[in-house]
Amino acid sequence: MDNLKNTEKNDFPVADSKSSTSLKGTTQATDASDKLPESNVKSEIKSADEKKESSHLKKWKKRMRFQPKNVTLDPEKHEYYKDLLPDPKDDTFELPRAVPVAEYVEEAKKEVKAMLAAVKQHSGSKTALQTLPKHMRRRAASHNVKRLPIRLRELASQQMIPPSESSKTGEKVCRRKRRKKLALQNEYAKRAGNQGWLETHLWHSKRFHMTENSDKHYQHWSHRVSIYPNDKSFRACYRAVAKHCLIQDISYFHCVELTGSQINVKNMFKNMIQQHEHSSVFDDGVLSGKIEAEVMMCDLTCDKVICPVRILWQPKLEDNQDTISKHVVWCWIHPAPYKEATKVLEQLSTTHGVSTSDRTGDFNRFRFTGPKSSVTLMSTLQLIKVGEDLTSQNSAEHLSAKLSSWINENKDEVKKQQLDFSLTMLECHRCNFHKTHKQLTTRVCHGAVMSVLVNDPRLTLPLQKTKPTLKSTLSQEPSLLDASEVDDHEKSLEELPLSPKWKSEILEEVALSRLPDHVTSTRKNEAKFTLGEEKTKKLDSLATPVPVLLIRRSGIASHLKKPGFEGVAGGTEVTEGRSVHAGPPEDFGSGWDLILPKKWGTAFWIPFVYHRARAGGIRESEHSHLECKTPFFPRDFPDTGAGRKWWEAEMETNLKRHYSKPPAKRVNFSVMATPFPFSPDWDHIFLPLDGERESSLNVGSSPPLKQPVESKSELVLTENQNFATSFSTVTRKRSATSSDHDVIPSKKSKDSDITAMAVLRNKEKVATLRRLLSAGDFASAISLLESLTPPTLVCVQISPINRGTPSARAMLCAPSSDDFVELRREFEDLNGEGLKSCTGPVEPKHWDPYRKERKLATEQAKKRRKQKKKDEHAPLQSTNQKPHKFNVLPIRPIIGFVTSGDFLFSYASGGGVGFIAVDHLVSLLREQVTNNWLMQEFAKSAKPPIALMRLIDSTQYRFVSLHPTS
Amino acid sequence: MVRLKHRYIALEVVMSKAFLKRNMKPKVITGAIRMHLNNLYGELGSASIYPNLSVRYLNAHTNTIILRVRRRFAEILLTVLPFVTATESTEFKNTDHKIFFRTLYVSGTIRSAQKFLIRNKTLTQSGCRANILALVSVGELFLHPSPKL
Repeated sequence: MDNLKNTEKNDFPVADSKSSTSLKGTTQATDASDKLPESNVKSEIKSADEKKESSHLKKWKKRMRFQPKNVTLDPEKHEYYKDLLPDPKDDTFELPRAVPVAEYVEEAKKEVKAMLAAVKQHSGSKTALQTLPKHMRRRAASHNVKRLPIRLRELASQQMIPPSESSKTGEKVCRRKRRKKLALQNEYAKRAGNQGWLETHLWHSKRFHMTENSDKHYQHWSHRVSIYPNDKSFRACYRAVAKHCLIQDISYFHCVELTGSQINVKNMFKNMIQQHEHSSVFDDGVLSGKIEAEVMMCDLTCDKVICPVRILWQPKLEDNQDTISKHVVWCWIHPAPYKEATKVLEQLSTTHGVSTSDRTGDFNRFRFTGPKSSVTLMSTLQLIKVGEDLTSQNSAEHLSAKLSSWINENKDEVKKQQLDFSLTMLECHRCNFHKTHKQLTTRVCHGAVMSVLVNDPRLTLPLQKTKPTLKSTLSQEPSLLDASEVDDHEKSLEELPLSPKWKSEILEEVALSRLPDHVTSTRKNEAKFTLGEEKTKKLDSLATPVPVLLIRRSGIASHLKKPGFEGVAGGTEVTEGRSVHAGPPEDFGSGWDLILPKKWGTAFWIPFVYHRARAGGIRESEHSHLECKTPFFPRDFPDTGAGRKWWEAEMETNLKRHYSKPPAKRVNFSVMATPFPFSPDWDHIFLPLDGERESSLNVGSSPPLKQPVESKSELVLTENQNFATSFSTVTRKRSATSSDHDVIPSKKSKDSDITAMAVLRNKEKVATLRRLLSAGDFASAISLLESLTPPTLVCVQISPINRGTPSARAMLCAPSSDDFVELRREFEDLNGEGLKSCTGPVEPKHWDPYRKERKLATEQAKKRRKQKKKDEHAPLQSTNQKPHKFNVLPIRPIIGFVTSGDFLFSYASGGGVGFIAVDHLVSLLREQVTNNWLMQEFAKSAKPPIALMRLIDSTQYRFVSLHPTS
Repeated sequence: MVRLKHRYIALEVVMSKAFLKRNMKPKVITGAIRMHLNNLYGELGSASIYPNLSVRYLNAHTNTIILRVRRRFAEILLTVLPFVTATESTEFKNTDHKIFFRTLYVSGTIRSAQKFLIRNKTLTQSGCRANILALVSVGELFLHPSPKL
């Protein structure tokens, strides 16, 4: 039947063409102009028909490919008998004398052959097993041919041969081979080059969330860095910081080496560091290389802050202050503002005759935080034996010749340094943990540098993770026990931290001298089975001296808590039995920085982890800064370029998150009266509280549930009026936005505003401000604040007086006098619970100015959709407007923003860091000084200045007290 | 899975004239069947069978045909087949040509029909029925002897 159809179809086109030609003839006769389109249509139809037909034929052919073909007679061949006939037209003829049996048999034979082929043919895509009915299938038959019936065996064995050898060239290596260590290492080495991997990257990437290059926050870091560990939340790391030891790999910090005479470098620093910090940079200790200084780096004009820099001078033996001899200085710079910083450094270095070079890859820098970091370091860093001649004794070819010769030259120095190292660590540990020493503060100041020669820590790697204790570490070095009694520290502290590290050629050799992991581990295992002297000899043969630098860091907030200053709110100075709300202890976040030569990263990292140091990432440092309520770079540095970039990235991610939700599920920030939900707008808080603010946002603060501005023309009118007034009053450039709610300020105006923005970073001024405020001397505090010349921001610690947890982007608002009245009423309510029942005011709901437009837009969209159906070529119009700001201002004016905040474990309450404009801080203070009740009664609970804080997605205000910080 | 079930019918065609043999095409066979279907079973019968009727295999040399028809209507077709005596008149310039079918085998799959044909033909080749069949294939000449004979 199908065949029949085919033949019929095959006939169709012919007939068609005939009919079409005949049609053509008629049309030509009637109307010549109509001819063309018609014929076109015809041909189209025809081609479509053919297509259909061809696909149908294809299918048919495919189905019938194994079936025997029809056999018809060849007329020419079989009409031989016609010649025999007398009349060719007559079909009948005389019976032949012979019957063509042979011919018939031949044909039958052919037929049988074809049939046999068809019957034997295994159809289509089925395997041999699949041709069997289900009840005859056996699972084992898939790999054992003999499980199949005999007739299928041949077929099955053919199919069981793996795909032909032709594909072998592009064959994948099996996973087992690919995952072998050597293959992996080769592959990782390939990848590490272009991705910016740290040495410990592999270790981290298995256990941590890593930064991604596509993430705008970390785009310019040029390294992939661990953000936070996957196994535990921050609480575990907080415990490590507070009570144990946290280790972080901060090798992503860039190290820039400056070489030049001391005076030149000094002059250079004078140009890039603000006046009030000169004392800390040009301190004798810093210049001699005993102390690493941490200062804020500025641009050439010294008013724009770039980033904090750590400066370390190379110690020089010769004390003569000659101008000719070269000094080497290391500047450790955060990766985010690296480009900006190097630009400044290069400009300055050319003018001052100092050469710069990037030495980022040459060092590893590990950060140890927590009270037990000293003992961890002490137990992990085994000192190298210097007594004997290293090279001659070991005959180990892996040792660097230059380093050993340096050691031989400075034997005494090295020994002294090692003793110094042990004693300092001991002292630091005892200050934290021993009762008799507890009241003492260490003499090891912030940034003190120590240089030590240590052994390869893999040799003392414990089999299982062990907690280092002072007892166990001291038992290994009995000499220390006696020495620790002798207090000969003062002498040792004067030692210069001379180190072979400063010589780059030695450093190269040290990097090469690292034995591969498998060598150390196998030889260590061999040594396990030998006893006594043999054992020590064997281990000694593996010993490799590694010069390291140790830099002390005192607590994160220690500069704010020097004697004479009171701690943050509620803080008590009693060390024993501290209140849970007391905040972090003074030495919270103290520890050491360890600088290692390159290639030694993992060799040190893993032993530290085995000594129970908890590994952390960026989040850990961010959070531990927050625990102390101190700003963290770059997040809490909105005046720097890096900070601005951070917040731009933050804005982008927040926008994305917000607008990825369907409109009905988004928070309506207009109703909430949150004008800047995605990132803080610092320009806004510098505006005076009256009219201008409204003009900046065009629509103005809409009183709660007031009718919206009705028509567009009206809106424009009010806009113009506002502009007129604002231009007369405004002194600073404003980004005046024209279109109604597409409020994206142009870049130029933004930059100019940022340059004008400054943050109070003078540590002395901040300290005095804190002292004055805590002492209650508001008048002088106000005068101090007013003396600050440019309109500045003040960094403030935020502590809610009872409830509320600040979070980034929350608004700080000025309370009205009614709010204080209400606060007093709630506080003194005899039926209430005092401070606990002080809830704070609530922002009423606002009218959404976009509401009407949005409704219109959806209707229009509907219409357009309908139109689209009718007319497909209708131009698409983008109706989705995604405002970055919302034009509704809250009733209580915004005076600042929170940049980071969370629940803090050390305070057992929320807390955060934010920025507030100086003018507003002054007016807050002025207002609150006049409030007698606030100053006298309430001050016990929370010290003024008191402000209101509101989260972006909430209408509830919370009272917070502010403390300046830096 | 639901599938359409068929019956495959192996036939032998006996034709009156060499002319017909030369021009044997699937269409000729189906046309002949349709004509007689119409006569015997009317419109309903032809409508139920004809659209599903197809010639799966045809060999003009050995006069073998395999027909396929829906299983439901196989019996109807089988009853019709003996009554087919001539081709459709419209096929060859309004002239009837004598033709008849010998039903050899009915099976559920084309495979078993083919198997049957193999069996059938090999038997003929092995000799026992060769003469008979050979005679039958020539028999067409005897059936309608020419006036000259």
